[in-house]
Amino acid sequence: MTQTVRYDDRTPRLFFLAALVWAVVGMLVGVLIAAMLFMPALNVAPYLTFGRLRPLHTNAVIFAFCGNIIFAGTYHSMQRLLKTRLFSDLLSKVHFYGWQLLIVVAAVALVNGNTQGKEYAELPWLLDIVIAILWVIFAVNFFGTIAIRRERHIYVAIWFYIATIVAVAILHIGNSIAVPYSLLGSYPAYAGVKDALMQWWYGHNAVAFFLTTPFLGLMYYYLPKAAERPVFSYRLSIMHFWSLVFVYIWAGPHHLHYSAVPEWASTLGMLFSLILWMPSWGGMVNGFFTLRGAWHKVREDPILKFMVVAVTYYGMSTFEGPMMSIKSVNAVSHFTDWTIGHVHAGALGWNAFLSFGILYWVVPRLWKTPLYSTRLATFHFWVSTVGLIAYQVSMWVAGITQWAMWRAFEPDGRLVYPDFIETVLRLVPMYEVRLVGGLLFFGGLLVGGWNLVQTIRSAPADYAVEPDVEAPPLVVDTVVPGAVTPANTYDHAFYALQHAMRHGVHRMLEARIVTFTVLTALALAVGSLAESIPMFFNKENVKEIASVKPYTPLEVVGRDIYIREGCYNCHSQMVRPFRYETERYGEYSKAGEYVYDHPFQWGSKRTGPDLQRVGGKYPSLWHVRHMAQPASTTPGSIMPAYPHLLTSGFDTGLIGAKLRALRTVGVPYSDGEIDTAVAAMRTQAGTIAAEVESQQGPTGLADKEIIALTAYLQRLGTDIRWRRPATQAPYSATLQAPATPATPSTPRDATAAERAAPAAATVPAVQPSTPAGVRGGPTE
Amino acid sequence: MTQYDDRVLHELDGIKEYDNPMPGWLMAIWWGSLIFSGAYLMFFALSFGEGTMEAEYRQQTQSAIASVQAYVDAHPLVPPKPAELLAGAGNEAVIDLGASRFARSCAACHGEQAQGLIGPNLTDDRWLHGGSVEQIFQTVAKGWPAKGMPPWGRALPPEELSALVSYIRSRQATNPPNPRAAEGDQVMPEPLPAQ
Repeated sequence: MTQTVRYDDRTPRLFFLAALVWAVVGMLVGVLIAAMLFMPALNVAPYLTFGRLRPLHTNAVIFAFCGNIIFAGTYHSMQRLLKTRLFSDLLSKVHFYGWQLLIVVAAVALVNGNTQGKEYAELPWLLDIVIAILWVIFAVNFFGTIAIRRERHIYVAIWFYIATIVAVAILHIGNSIAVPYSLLGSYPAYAGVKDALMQWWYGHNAVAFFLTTPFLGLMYYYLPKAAERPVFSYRLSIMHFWSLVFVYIWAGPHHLHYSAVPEWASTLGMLFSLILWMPSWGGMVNGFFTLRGAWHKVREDPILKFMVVAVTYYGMSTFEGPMMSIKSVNAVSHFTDWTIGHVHAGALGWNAFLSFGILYWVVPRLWKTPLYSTRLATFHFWVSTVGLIAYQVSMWVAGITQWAMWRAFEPDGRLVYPDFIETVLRLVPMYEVRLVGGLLFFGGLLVGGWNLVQTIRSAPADYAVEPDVEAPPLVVDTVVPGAVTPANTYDHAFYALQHAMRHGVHRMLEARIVTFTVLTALALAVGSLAESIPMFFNKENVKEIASVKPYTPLEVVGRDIYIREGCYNCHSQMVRPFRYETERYGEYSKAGEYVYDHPFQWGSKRTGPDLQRVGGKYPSLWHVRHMAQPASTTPGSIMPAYPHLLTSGFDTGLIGAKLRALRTVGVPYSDGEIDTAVAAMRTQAGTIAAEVESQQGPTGLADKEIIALTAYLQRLGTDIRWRRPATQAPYSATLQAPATPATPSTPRDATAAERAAPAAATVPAVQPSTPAGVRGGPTE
Repeated sequence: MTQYDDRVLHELDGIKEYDNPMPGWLMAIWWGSLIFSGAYLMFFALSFGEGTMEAEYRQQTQSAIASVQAYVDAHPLVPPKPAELLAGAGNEAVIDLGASRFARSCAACHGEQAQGLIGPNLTDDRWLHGGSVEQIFQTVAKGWPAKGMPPWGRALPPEELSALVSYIRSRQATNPPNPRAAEGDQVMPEPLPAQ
């Protein structure tokens, strides 16, 4: 006895098409911002600058391109693996059109500067809620389909889809908790170090559960299908699924080595990243060994070519990742282009290549027509591969070069490259190679897209009429309380035990979806709670610094401008405890300095210099001129110009709501401060504008955004007093007595107490009366 | 290469699953990473703050101070004498060196012609921190950080510092266009030595 099923293939068709469209859009923006890095004239302020387009690129390729591939592949494969139609046609429609509408609105918001300033979680709070609703719709449709399945046991691909749905929900909600101050503006609930931990718990596991687990699920369906070979090892599937889900969630803090995050957290992040090596490679091994006996097909078949390289890149990235998470390696790679190379090896090599392989396999089947051109697909493969390698190698070279230049010292204690811009301009040839690589990859995508469109155009007129598929009904032998069924007899318990002994406990679990899902959630919860609970409840982790005070209202508005323009995409605010960083920037960052930073703005890439100690380093006029035309103060600068900051007025209407929102998340503003905020802003802005005028700068800036931004920048890093360790070039110490030969004063180790103390006499330039503390250092 | 049984366990939608064991080398990675991590964690917990990044930084700084000290002992720095700085103002090679460094590091604030921009005009006879070449050298080397002038002695090689001062002296009374308004006290430039 069989039943008749008619699959819903319209939904996956739509999602696959959308994925193709967003791939072109996302990668086009990627190519554009790659070019901006050495052609700053391409920036068109205020909307089309690197700082606003980079989040558009990352969100478009991750959530639009990869997201649509995930939905398409999940919906397409699960119907076949469960022998049933999707749960609800209505939910499928709402899911598809809702997600595309969300992407369009999100793109407009990002270009408009509506951002939360947290990487890969930039979208405004209102859109975060829409994402959550759409994700719930996806989950209902997914689990509903499982509920009406005709196969008792769920296949490994479905396990990975379940992990994806559960984990992304937890991560998205956990990291997006924020208090709104307007329709699109909000401040996150967490500050500084805690926000950093939550953000990278989210950020790293977005890679894990948006770019890894769903794609492993897709691999487990489409690779054996395309190769027509059995999956290598069921045991390995079980082992690497559960270890991956349990271990991955711990690894986030490896993004925060040598930062103000406590070392126990960063150590856990490193160790769990190392442990993650096997669980990640388990997927690679199952992929590769599935191809045993099919390697000869790889020579002819572009689909298998794409998939083999995808699995190879998955293996390479998941080896490079644990290696980069080792603290001493991370000290090299962090803040450099090496990270950019690593993430693109994963995103292009694994996600995009697997997606292309799937598209070439699935489009002819869904549109019931042969692929338009296998030769073009092969061409796409080779062009993309060459582009990918050029991308990756250029970023390795750029990353190591930049690190080596940052840390180079002369024997007399001076930095070899005191001007940061020198270390940037040295990378331009590598940026050019990267653009060529990106263009090749993008060109390959266009060829592939054209190939697929031509395929679709040759589809028969009745391609959308789905055939009926025969499938046996699900054998229900679960116990219904009180019912008199064979399953309810006494023998049932023995039967179940016998079954478990013969097929393994896991086989039973594969038939119990609720239990399976709860266990997945528990596996995710262990690492999440083990790292976040101590961070939030043990005050030792963020040592209070009495002199650190909340930002003034004007600085809050300036900080919002900093976030709006996406400055964090190129500038860090985290001086690491290395001699070459403290020599260049000043005292290394302390956890207590960030307690009012909602959100934290540490950044993860230094295309420009660190800004944590930029306060007081330059006259305010420098900032005004620099924002208007960066090359005027830093010859050769690749930073976009922000002339609109000098002409548009800063916002005073929302300041009350902003301060109240910040008070809700724990910044101690008094009622009086909130009531007089506008007056306080005018006063501080007037002072800074007067300073700019007295420095013979432009007049009439007192109500302009540039003054608010300058107020914020001049405040950065000045709440603690610090002095440089006495490793400086000796000139400044010996000049006191020019007649005698140089004998530097006894060098001393600057202890923590001394660093915190007011300026010591060994640094002659110190002005102890300066309220902001000791300043100084070479320009960047 | 291990021979695998390739016994089929399940089949779903035409996809078969083999019951092969996990490769030994992969399990070795697994147990190796677990043992290493356990040992590292034990070491980290028992080190009581030694080997932490604070301690690492202190140690790094100390050894840097020692090596810089040793270098300075072996290569004592003799600050240039005013006569040398003034002589440099008439030496073309010195002026070229000073001019190229000025263009890269100083022009952003003092103007391409040293006419003053964010920082003061260096071509007039008014000086905020003393106008003798010796005083200018001190200003360049130590800076006035509170006013935004960095201590270039930390950043530039000694010969470039001297060349900068000679170059600045050579710009005296050049009257470039669009000068920044005069600031500070009047100081007559010291005479250059006869060529």
